[in-house]
Amino acid sequence: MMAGQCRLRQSALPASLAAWLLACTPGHAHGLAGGSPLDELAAGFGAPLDVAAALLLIAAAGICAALWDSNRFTRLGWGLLAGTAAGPLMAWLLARSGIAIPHWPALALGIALALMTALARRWSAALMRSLLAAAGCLAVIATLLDHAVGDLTFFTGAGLVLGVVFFTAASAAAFSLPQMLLPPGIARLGLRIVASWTGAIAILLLAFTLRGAVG
Amino acid sequence: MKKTLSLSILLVICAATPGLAHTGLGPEGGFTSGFFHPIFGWDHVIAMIAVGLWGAFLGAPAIWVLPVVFPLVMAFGGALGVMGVPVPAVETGIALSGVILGLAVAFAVRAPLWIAGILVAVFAVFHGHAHGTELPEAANPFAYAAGFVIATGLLHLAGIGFGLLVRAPGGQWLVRAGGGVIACIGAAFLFGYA
Repeated sequence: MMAGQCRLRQSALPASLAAWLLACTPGHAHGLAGGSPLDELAAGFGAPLDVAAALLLIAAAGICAALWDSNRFTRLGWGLLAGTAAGPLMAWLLARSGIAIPHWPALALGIALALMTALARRWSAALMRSLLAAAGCLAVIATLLDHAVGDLTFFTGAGLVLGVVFFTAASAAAFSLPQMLLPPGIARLGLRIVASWTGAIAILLLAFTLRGAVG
Repeated sequence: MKKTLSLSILLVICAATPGLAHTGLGPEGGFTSGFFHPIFGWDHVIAMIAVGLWGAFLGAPAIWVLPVVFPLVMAFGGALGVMGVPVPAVETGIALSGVILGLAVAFAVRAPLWIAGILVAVFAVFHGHAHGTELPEAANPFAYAAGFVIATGLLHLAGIGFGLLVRAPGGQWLVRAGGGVIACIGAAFLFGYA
């Protein structure tokens, strides 16, 4: 009896924590407006994860960079950073001139990157840098379209740029890991298959978008 | 102990999310719906497994080319379906895919890569179109598409896994028999017995 109570007491705290973790609500951190500068930075940083088109583009760019060269994908970083940094300005200029940019350019580039990865050819560094620059820029624009460019402050913009660069680099790093841990042939085969899945999801989402069901 | 138990209950009550079971969005909503869409149709399942089987049977590079081609072209077919572009004889094409791909495995057909790729791509359009047409309005298109594509890919991987038995002694006959079974099921769909 006593032993049973003791076991119950010992398991009650982890159970409480597990119950709390399971029951807690998802964070709604992506209202970009308002709050302290730190809040705005954090909101901008997490915002790309909330937009399917941006997320797919980031994933496709990450796989493409990882498969391009798992040891040297950091060489592409400057292109990604430059393109991403231009994103908020581009979005602001487009919104100011009244040009509505839908999600499909981000999805189309995601499909192109997925196809390039699936084909697995050795692309030049200059082409890869340009594509990653475009990916960063379009990921920012797609994200801002879902959160209204009017919400954009310096800190949300900075957070957004950091977020897109960070998640793209993280995606590339994550997809480089299998190439270090598994036999190279199997890892590259797996990455091509995953890239084709990303491209297929983007194609379907593009169809829904063009049909007007999304975005 | 009572205190800890009360604390647990209080934490759960405070942190619990609202129930999302009755959103009014219907069953054709998100990831689960997309995931089970290919899995619950035997005509789709056999074809997708056959693609993996044939890829494994043909060896590199077909082992990765076919499972890469199929989801991409299937998504293209799905896009046609979602956008309402008609494709003729979809059901026949789906049933025929099981028959042809099953026979290719059963008779150990070593087709050139480009022929295998084109064949798989043509059949993928039918499969994708059928799914796309059946789901004109997805409540969460991203989750639906992700579930749909991942399930398809996993079926290919299941086929590849089974197909790798060709490397084992006697495994080739087992895999070829599997192809024969797939062809028979496909024929049952083709001639209206299933």
